[in-house]
Amino acid sequence: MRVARFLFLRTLGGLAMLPPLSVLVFAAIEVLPGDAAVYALAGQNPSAELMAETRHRLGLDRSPPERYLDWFSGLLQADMGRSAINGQSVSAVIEGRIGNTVILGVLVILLMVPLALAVGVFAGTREGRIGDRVFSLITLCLVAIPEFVLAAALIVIFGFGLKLLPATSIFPVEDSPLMHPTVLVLPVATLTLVAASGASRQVRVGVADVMRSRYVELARLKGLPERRVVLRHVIPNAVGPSLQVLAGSVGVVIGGSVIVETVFSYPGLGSALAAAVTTRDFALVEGIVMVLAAALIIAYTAADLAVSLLTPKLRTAL
Amino acid sequence: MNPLVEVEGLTIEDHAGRTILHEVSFSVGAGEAVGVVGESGSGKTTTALTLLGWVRHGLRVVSGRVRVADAELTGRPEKEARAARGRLVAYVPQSPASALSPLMRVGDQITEILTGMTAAERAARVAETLDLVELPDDEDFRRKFPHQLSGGQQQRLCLALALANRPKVLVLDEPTTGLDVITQAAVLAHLDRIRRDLKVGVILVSHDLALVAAHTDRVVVMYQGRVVEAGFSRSLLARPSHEYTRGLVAAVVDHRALGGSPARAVISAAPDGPPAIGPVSLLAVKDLHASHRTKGRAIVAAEGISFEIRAGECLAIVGQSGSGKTTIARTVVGLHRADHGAVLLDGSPLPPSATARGRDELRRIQYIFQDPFASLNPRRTVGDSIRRPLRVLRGMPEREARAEVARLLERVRIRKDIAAAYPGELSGGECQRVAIARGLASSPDLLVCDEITSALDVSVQASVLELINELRRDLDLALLFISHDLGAVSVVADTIMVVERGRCREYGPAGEVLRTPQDPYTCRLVEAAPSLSEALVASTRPADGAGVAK
Repeated sequence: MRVARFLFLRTLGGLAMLPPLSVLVFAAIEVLPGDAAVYALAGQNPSAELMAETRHRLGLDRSPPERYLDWFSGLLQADMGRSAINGQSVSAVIEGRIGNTVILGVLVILLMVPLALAVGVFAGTREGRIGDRVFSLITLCLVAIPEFVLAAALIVIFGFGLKLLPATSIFPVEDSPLMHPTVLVLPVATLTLVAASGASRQVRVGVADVMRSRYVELARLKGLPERRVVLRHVIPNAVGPSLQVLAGSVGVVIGGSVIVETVFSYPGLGSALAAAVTTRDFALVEGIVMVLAAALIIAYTAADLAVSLLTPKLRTAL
Repeated sequence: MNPLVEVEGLTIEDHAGRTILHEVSFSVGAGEAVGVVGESGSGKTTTALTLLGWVRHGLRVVSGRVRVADAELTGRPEKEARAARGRLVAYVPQSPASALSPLMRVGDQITEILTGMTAAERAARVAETLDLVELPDDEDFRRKFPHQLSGGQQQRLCLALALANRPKVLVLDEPTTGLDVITQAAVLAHLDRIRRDLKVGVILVSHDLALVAAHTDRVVVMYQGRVVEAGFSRSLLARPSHEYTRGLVAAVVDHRALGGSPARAVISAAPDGPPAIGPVSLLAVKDLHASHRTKGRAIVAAEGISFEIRAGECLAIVGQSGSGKTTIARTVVGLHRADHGAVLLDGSPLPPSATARGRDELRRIQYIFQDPFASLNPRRTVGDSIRRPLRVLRGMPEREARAEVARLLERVRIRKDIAAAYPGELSGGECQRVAIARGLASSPDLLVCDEITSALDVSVQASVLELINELRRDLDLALLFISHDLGAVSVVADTIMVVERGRCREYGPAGEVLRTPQDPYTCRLVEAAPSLSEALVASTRPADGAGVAK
């Protein structure tokens, strides 16, 4: 009962973040130079009247607060508006692409979480020793390299060099990427490496901290074998706090998907977002950002709930 | 027959080649208790841990050996040393709260270390062991997590973990620091019984001489990694021969030996009684009610507390942990908002919150915290920390403030070049002196001292108490002295208020309260507090002749 109450309050708190977020997103697009009308009419050499008329049609001649309220009230009625560029409904665009991004994201998270935990525990239990140093150096390099550089390097090596995998992830619109598994390998690998590196470094610090704790010393002094000390006393105590870190790396995955999808021409929400920003397609940008933000809020809420349930001290305080 | 535990010529160095232990030797017989005393950094814990074949990271055994029940524990591979741990020799750590694995239930913590038994045998042993340390043996308790236990229960659980495999030797490292006196007395009485019944050898590491005198047969005094003196506990502590031990014994503050304690000679108040106490009340607290609210439940911290402190007077508030004494102090300085009641300074009421108080009101009452390391900003030099109240509360110009810092440091008897140091470079005693200097900087009328000696070594405690008395005499300071240590209180307090669960149990002149307590709770408190003088005169029962100190 108290758990349900906690979940309800946390979810409510998450939802409450959406309206202020929508203001930020709207304001950010507002300050970008140029507007959708310019891009919608690009190449037509439009007259001043046509420009003005298009602006009027898109509602761009109204004041920003007016337009914001219009958009936001639409959101509340599950209407995200229409693309300013091609008139498609935003929900239709998102519907067409969200599945692809979910597949990409879920695959990355499924690979990243165990990888980050494994590397973090391995390095953390060997703090300062050679195994720790090697992994710390590798993860540091991967954290420092931007996603698009890593993606480009993988394309050069596996796409052009070894010719093992396709360099771009293009496939027929009506298909699921799962029908063409090869197109997923490089995007998934790029995102997994980047997200897992950052997360594993945090897990490592948590594990190393627990290794130095008094209760781990006592566990050893109780005569427990080292394996058991790590499995029963170190890992459970380090994993709890790591969950929030892992939820944070969902944010890395979402942010990274914008770049990775663009680099690989993968038809997901990320690449659509990048394109929409370039054309100042405000309705589409706002719609996609709200969806991504909701996903991130869900991830954090789930992690919070998991931490509260896995940590007796928090659970009994609920 | 060889003694149960034999430590011979043990020398340990750290990675930089500094000697941590130098030729340490002693022995312990079955059923015998040996105390290891010394200040922090003297090598007590390092010595204790070698009995488990354990050397902390960065240290290494250079020479010497440790034998327990004829098994060699030094110079053996970790795997073999581990076999002895928990089975032959068991360890009871300091601060049980941080030593118990937080995610493991009570029952699992014990079951975990029982090997080579059937499930039924394990269950029986868990029940037996919980019973042995007088913890409840029901399903409900076994399913609790460590954080749901009280401090005393946590310590008993640690003792249970150590006893689960029925070891021959028990190593206890400051097992009762952090427990209040009543709980401490119960845990120690218990330990004595277990030692008698199970015939285990006990090594009790402690800085508390009163406790060692009362609960051990022989004692080993360590100083800078060496054994400087060893012998039968009571005769040694009654007539210490080494200079260091003499100083240590002299530094003990003893509530039973008012006036006659050796410490009284070192820590003298004014030659004739306490400093002059003014006739008018400086601070008055009237009918104070305070509580802490968590998750809708209110925990009472003060219920109808009233007291008065006159200029130059020292009032000590004494009680167990959780009695509300710190909350009362925090209400006085405006860090905790009272539910009801008034705090009056010179007869005029103070605003409840420190932020609402005027500069002069803030200046006149200063607070010194329990943990000197935590109360000094680690990123600020000592000089900066002391200069701040000078500049803010007294509006002193920078140059003058610098000179004043030097004067204050001299006042608290530390080198004035320490002003350029950061708190991390100082010892606990030095840090606490700096905190006192900071408290004095605003030239307050009332100093609120919250357990200011409990984080310090015995010898350092004595010198800090001496400093406090000296300051009172010279500066005409009034003190609100919060403590659970009746020894410390007996040295500084003029008046004592005993609180239990937020209620005042007894309030009166220090001598009367300590010598002839009226309230049953005060009686228990005075009874339970360890007293060196009492331990020395009490039962000079003969020690087991199982081994002679080397």
